[in-house]
Amino acid sequence: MTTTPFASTHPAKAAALGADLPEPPPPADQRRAALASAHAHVTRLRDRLRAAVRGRDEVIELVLIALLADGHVLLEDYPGSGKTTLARALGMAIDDSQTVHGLAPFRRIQFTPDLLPSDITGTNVFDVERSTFEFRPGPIFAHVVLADEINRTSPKVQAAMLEAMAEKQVTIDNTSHPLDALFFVIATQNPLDIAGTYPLPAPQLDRFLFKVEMVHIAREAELEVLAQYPKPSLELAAALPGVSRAELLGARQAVRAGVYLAPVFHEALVDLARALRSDPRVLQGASTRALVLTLPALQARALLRGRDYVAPEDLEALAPHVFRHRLEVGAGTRDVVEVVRECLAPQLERLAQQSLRA
Amino acid sequence: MSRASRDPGRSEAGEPLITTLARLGVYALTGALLAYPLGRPGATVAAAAGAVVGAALGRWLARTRLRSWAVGPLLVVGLAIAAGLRHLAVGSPSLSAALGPASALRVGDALAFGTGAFASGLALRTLSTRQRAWALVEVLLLSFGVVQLTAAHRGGAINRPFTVADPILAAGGDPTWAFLTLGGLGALVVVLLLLSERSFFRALWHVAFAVGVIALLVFGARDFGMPQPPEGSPGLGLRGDAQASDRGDASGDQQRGGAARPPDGRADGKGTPPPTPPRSDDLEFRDDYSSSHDQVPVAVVLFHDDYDPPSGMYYFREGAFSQYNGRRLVAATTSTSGARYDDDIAQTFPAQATDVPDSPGGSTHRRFVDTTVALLADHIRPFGLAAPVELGPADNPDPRRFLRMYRVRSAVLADDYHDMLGAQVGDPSWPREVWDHYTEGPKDPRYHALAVKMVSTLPDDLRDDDVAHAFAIVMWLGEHATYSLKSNHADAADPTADFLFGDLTGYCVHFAHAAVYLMRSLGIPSRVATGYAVDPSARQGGSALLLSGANGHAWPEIYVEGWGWTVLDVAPQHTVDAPPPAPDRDLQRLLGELARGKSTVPPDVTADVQSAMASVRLWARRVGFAVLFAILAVLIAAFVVKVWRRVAPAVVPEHRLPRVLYRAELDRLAEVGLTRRRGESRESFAARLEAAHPAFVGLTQAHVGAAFGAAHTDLSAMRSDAARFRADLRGRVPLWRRALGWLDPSAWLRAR
Repeated sequence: MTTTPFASTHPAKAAALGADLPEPPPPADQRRAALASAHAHVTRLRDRLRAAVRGRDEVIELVLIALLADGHVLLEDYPGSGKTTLARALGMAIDDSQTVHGLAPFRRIQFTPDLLPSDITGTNVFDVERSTFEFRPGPIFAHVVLADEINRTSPKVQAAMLEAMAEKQVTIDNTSHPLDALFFVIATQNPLDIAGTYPLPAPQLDRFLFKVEMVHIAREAELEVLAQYPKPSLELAAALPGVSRAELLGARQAVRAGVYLAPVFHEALVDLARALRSDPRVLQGASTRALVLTLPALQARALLRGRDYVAPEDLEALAPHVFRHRLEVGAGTRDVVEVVRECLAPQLERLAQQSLRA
Repeated sequence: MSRASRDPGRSEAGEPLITTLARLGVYALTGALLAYPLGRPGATVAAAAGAVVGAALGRWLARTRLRSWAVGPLLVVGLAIAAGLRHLAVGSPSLSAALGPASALRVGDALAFGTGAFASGLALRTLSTRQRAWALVEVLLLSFGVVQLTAAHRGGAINRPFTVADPILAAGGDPTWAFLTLGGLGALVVVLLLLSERSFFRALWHVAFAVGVIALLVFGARDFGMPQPPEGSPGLGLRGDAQASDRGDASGDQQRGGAARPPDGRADGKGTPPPTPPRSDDLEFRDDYSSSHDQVPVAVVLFHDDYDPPSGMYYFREGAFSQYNGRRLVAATTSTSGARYDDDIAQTFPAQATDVPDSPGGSTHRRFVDTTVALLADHIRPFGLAAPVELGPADNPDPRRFLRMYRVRSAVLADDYHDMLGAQVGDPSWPREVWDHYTEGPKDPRYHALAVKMVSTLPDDLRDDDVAHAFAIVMWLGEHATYSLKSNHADAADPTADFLFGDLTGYCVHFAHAAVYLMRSLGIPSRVATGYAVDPSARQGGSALLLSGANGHAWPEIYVEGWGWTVLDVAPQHTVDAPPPAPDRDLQRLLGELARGKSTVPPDVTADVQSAMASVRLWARRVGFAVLFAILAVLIAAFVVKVWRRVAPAVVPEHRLPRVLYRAELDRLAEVGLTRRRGESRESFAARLEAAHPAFVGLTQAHVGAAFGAAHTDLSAMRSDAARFRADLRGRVPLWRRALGWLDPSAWLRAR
């Protein structure tokens, strides 16, 4: 990546790109500039997160991809592995000084069995002075929400939370209160300690773009974390520049409009999903929604890697994270990722052969 | 790094395509082999086709929800339909009127065999797809097919089955080797079928092992000979391991390549003194003689003169038993005073022409008949048509088939037995000792009493004639005794007495002993001779006579002055066993021709076979050249493509460069054995090679970008990446490896 990304435009590609988009495309120069600035913003954000959380580059990338693709992530890992730090660093990195709402950049909700839906959405409170009910927003009204141990609360609360994730709004007493456009949820659950939990059913898992299984960080990264003592890492990260809400929303727009997605990827995705559905080991396959959500994720990854086109490696890297939690496999199949990789191989082969065709 | 476990070369059931095809081939072979001896050629083809279709459908049927037990009734129904179809086709008047009866029969046969094979193949394949244990039945069926095809070859019938053996014999080959090869191939197929390993290397090991076993079999057969026919005629002591005893003489005639066996490298070798041969030439009484009734050929006798014996049988004398040991007659030993008995029995095979001592020679009563004997099984002594006077070696045209060949000149009876009447028995010149030897019998007085009783029925003018006495004895025995291969005398103190004064039921050894004891009680010199007795009709008009173990026989002989030892056999009128069947006429003729060293088929057939072979050779050469040219053309085409792909980056327009340049470097990698795995993305492949070929990563990225819509591709960067990559490759891969790659015409096919 020695060359500057998005340096110039191939005219033929630009024409093909324009035909693909639903709305009239912005001029090529403008789009290129938008992509370049989006890349710059996202790279800045990534560097800040990397400073805050050491040894988690892959997770940070996936979280950023989900943020750019307007999805949410489910982190599955052990306590103390840095997920709160990651979410807090992300929230703090988003500078929201321009908005009128003055929303909190970051909120953390610890899910417990006795939590009520109104505890997270907020509720109407009677204002004695004005004799009216006034809506007092709950912790969900924030840019980045950390839903900690989401499987510990009752299905009722889970449903309210997941509705908010899907609709980007909460409804209290027949009044809908829209959430911020940037609204981004990082949910966590502990993979081992599952006694007394309410595991999320498959349709609710479907609302998460990725499920990321975190593994313990490498020895060097762990040494680095200890080397920062006594300075908190978040303080170190705060010294780095952040991004504004508007810049992030612009980056989302630029990714969707500006990163070229070859039609062959549509075929590869659909055929992959069909192969997964017909695999004898899979009881329930992935939904069409999952495929729709995957498209911007592919584009977002391309942008993060400094490309203006989606490459087969994006599909190869993201497919396990997209499909891992959406498949229900029969007894005797332990590794879902293995199933996904097996079904993905023919599609990768097809994409690889496509590139050599004239 | 994704690993492709679903190979496109495998069919749905996870079985390699080649295995599936091989299995279908095996089914076709099994169907054809099983139907071949039962039906017409059309039926064979129909059975093969039916089995293939059934096997193909069986795979499908196995995946349906059909219960496994339902396959049995399904098979029964299928076979019933097959039988019904045949009945319908053959029995229907309209069909036979339309096609003609012969065609209707053929159609019915083909329908029946095709449907039956279809049903059986369907059932078997269904079951064996579900459970691998059923593969055993597949293997058994195939083995049975091969075995029943070649079973006719057993028992020395080298001309069977005709369709396979005839062309080979015509071409001058040995069908046994063809069958050995056939069996070896069959075993190989069976082994393959049984194993059909998923693991290629394990299967390879097993196949190598099976090939080794088969090779051992073939080379063992070549070096140690084919399995010998089983011992015929138990108790007569005609056959045995003669090689050891004759080693000394045999080595003498090897340089002549005549009667002796070819050197076979036995452990004892030549030059060492031969060990004492196992004496298997004792005449034992047995209760069950029926096991001798096998049809395994033991020898072929070629008649050089026509001869119709007055006794009604050809007697080939091999041994004689004249010494009474208190229980039975045994082979005579030289007496204490040096007198020799039974000198006319040759004890060794001739190394050169030798006169048989003490033989009758030519007289008014005898004339000479020349025969040649070709032994298919080992014998203790040479035998010849009674009475042999001269033995000599003969050229063996096929030492692998005939263990030994020798010439016999026999002085056969020319006159009728009636002319013997009035002659003196014994030889007046014999010393007392010899007389005693040939007239010694049991002390039991019943023999003499019975003999006198027999003789008393003779007419007056023959009452004092010894020869007539002997005739009376054998005629009485023939009239009153019953021939049976099963008897119950062997345990008696004197089995002959038990037979003669008991139920009068026995076989040739009993008859011969009884006759000799009775004759000796009257003072007639006599002995028991053993060998082969064959009805002249067995010649069936030819000059070759095939002897089998079932022809083994023992008979009484008397010594008549001027006639010598003369066969005087009992012809039992009551017999509970059928006489041995006549030998296979074709086999007799074939072996006769082989023994003569002549072509075994008529000249026109030989010419046909030879011209067929010539045209086969011609076609083989043409096909060989065509294949050679095709291979050459493919090679040249491959090199042209290879060179074009290498030089293309220099000549193509710029917009095609990202593809063509990447392809050229991909070819270079393939030449040194680095190829992308199936299901691996280009980026993963590049990442895998990154440590050794870092420049390839950038090249790959540029190529993928150009293919998937990058706005801009930096062609100069790509060129420099390619140059760096080539430099890396030269630095890292030794020259010889790259040179091998240049020579490889197929590398570009592996560049993926």
